[in-house]
Amino acid sequence: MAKLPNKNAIGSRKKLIAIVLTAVVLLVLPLVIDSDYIKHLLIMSSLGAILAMTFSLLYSAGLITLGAAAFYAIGAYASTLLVMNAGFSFWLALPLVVLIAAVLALGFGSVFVRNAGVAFVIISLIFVQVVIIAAGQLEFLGGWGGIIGISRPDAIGPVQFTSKTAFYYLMLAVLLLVVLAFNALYSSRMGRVWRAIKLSPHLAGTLGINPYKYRLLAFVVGSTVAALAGCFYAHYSQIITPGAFGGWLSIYVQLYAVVGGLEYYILGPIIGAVLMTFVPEYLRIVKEIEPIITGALLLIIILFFPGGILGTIKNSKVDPFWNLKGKGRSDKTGFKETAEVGRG
Amino acid sequence: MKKLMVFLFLILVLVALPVLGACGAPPPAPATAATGDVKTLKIGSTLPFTNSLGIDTKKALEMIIPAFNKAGGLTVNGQKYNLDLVIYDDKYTADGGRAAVERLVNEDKVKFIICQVGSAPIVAGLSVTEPAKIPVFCGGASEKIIDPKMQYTYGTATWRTNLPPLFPLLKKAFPNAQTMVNLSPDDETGKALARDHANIATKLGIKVLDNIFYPRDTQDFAPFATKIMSLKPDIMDYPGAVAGTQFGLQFKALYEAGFKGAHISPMPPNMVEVLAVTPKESMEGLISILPSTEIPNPTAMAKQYKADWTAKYGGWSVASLTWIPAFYAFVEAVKKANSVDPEVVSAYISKNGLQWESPNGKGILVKRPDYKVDRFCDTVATLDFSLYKGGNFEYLGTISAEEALAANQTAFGGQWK
Amino acid sequence: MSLGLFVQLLVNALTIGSIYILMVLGLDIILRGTKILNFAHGQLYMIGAYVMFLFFQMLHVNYIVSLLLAGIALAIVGALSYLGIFAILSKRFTVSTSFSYRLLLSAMASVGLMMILQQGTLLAFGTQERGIQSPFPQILDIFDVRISLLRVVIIILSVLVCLGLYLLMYKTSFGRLLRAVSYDPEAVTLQGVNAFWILVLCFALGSALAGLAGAIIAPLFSVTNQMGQNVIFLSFLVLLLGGIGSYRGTIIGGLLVGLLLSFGFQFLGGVAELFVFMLVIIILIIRPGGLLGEATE
Repeated sequence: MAKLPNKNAIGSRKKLIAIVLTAVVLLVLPLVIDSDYIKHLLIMSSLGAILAMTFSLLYSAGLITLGAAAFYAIGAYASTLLVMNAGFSFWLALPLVVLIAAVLALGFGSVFVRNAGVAFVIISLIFVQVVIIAAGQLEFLGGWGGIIGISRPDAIGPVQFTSKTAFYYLMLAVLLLVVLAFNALYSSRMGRVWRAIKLSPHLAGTLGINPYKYRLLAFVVGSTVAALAGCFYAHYSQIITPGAFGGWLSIYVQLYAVVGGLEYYILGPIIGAVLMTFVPEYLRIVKEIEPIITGALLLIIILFFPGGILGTIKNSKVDPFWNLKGKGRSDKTGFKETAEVGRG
Repeated sequence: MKKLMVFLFLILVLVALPVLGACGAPPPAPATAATGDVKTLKIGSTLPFTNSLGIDTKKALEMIIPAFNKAGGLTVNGQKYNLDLVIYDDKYTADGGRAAVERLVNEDKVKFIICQVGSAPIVAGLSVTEPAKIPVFCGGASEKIIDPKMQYTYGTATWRTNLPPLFPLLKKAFPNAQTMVNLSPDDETGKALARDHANIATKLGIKVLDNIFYPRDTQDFAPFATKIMSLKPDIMDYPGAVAGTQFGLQFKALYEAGFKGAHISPMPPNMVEVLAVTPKESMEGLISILPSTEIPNPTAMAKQYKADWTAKYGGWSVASLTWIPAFYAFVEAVKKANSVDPEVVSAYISKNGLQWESPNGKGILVKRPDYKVDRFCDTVATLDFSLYKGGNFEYLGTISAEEALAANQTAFGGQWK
Repeated sequence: MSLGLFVQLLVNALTIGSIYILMVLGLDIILRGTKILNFAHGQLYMIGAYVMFLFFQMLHVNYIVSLLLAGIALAIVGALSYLGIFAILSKRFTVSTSFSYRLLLSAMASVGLMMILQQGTLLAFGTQERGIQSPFPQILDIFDVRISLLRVVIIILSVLVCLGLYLLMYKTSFGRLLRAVSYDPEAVTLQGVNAFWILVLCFALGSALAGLAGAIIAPLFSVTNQMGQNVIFLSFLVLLLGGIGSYRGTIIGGLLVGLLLSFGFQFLGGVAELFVFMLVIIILIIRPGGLLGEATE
């Protein structure tokens, strides 16, 4: 079991109740909801949440990535090829994909992370394009038409993953593991170093911290987890096409984090992903103007509630039920940060 | 605190929207009860709302189905049914299609899916419809639609069967044409058709110099034209092209590069869109399918279709004609099976095959032994051909569905009926 | 390779390259001045093409006048966007706001703007693809080389726009102010100049460049509501390749990408695009700041 984050995380009774309540709701949900469609959206939300959490992880180290989709795609394609062509079992392919992704992330990351700032943002965006074009142009990756008929994860004993309900529980478990792992990271020394680098890489440097090394580590961890999510995506949707990983996916991932609350590295992405998956779907009733409303909502949140949903609740002094966030504490304004030295 | 109130209000609005939407949407169950003896049969479609194929097919369905209901709807086993059609945007992509079909099948609970246009969304949707046993009558070109693994999916367009009848006409109009280049979009439709066309052309003695693929959204065809000109083909083939604006851009680029050979297109070009971007001269030598409404003596059904369209929308667009046979096939299947139960309908088709009349003429569902499919899954149909010459479409002749069947059996082999 | 083929490929490369140059100059001006990574740039380019369609094709306004109108219209759209969104956003930032936070929030705001512009145009003009009849349909046939006159005009127009921009930036007091603001807005404010309106104009100028690019290219291609999304990624690539903040770098980068794509496609096929992307990454390994830019941080 991973160590729980903050010293007081489990001490408060209120929090314990909140955790238990959330767990019960999440576990009972598929039994109450009959609609496969809602389950589908919940599964997609959990994938989005994991991706957004990797974005937040990089952001916690001061890196803004638009490339979450790149490793998501790499994971999806790698696992598909391993399972469909090389005949691996899904559960054996999983650790292999993680390994492949980690190696690739280390290789590419060592170049990309050298320029933090605008250059990193654009490089990460371009990297997504490289991956997409590679998948589209290379015949053994299925071309632009993609690969269809990908099998669902193999059954573990009597547990099959063919139904949406089963997959929902699977994703819930994966999400929980990622949450616990990230939580442990954030409360470890590493997490504190990341936040120090984000506040001021130069200041951190004077303390003998090598920002490059720690940022690269963040990149590798984030990318690997994104690839992991990609595996589950491929075997859930059973079809992968290069277009599915197009540039806008990465941008949506950031939206999740921003909407949920940028400074809440774990809970923010989850809330943002669920909301931003469900709201546009329900806005389909307004048909053509759906993107306009989504865009306007986004602007309203950025302009007037920059703390995101969680930040706004926190600022209004309403006690948030669950203090599961990477930061030890945020100051009253929620968002003010100390300047990076030398860069304004 | 005030800010929190505003924020909570926003959330409230967000939550209220779907609820309002649920109330605002036409309640299906009471509708059936209110009208008593007429029931509602829910069918669905996904179309790309961003290109003319999708838009025109949507317009066509929105025209045909209300008229069909008005004329008495479907009568099955003495029970009258009105059709209720739900259409979603599939964005012409696999994920768009998958999401839309997921919603149709699991949320709207449609019984049949008809008239889908793009191969990518269709193929993606099959992973939802096949396990749910929902019959799909669709117009896609991908051979994955007629895959042996599929049980409930029928291709009702003539993509895979219209070249064998076309090539003899090409040989007649351009006796010296020896070499061909395929220019296709780099997607499911284009890949599948390019393979098919290259295959058939080779069998019929034409040398395929190259299969060139372009990304679906390409606008700049100059590099392609330059490359094609250095290959010097006699025939240009455009398998899988959306025969609208992009088609025009291709003609224009080739014309500017100095191409003077034959063009073949298994899809009637949307002349309004094509001529908006390219001069008429660039289309000289195009052999294409002529819309059945434009032949010298169109059938009554075709005449009616065009008249209805013109009356409802003003103007006239041929793009929808390629895709609507799926609707007529679906209606015929339900009538013949005398049931609205999806499984009964597909069981009937598997056993007896299917024939239907649409504004396009006759369509026959056939087996594809060459793809090792022993199930009625693909379509041969009446085909009309034309040659673009001197700024006009010159009628070349009509091939009946039976003749098309014979030509295909000869080209591909096997017993198709 | 024959001379004819070479000239043909060169012209293809220059046409595409020049459009990317205009796009990226606009992106760069906005990024340096207002510190916004503008994702809505592709949509501004698309709207430029639609404005061209409206004036030139539907209202039969003179070609050059239509181009100017497209530029002006987009400058207005840009200025309004800045006033309505980014000006409000920048009020939230203080000297102590971290650069990454600032960059992220303004980029996300531009994504919101992008969605609104994209769908707004779709509602206004419909999903139908539009064509603009070429104002110069002639084809120059010199020594067996066939070149469309329109392509030549496009290249000349782009060069003129670049020249105009150069004069504006380096020979007028406005240009000096703009460059000064890009460098240090605080210092400019201390000089008694109202930096706010300079920034508004900066965003408007960038938007106008995107609009001009769209309007110039529109008669060559078709006008669709997808066109903006297709052009933006390569624009970012060119921006990075040339180096952020270097006009010369942008021009060299744009030409280089145009040439690589044109010649690469002829001899390698569709994979050429992949090679171009990989090449850029390699260049960035050697020169982290791009060809002529300086590495930041």
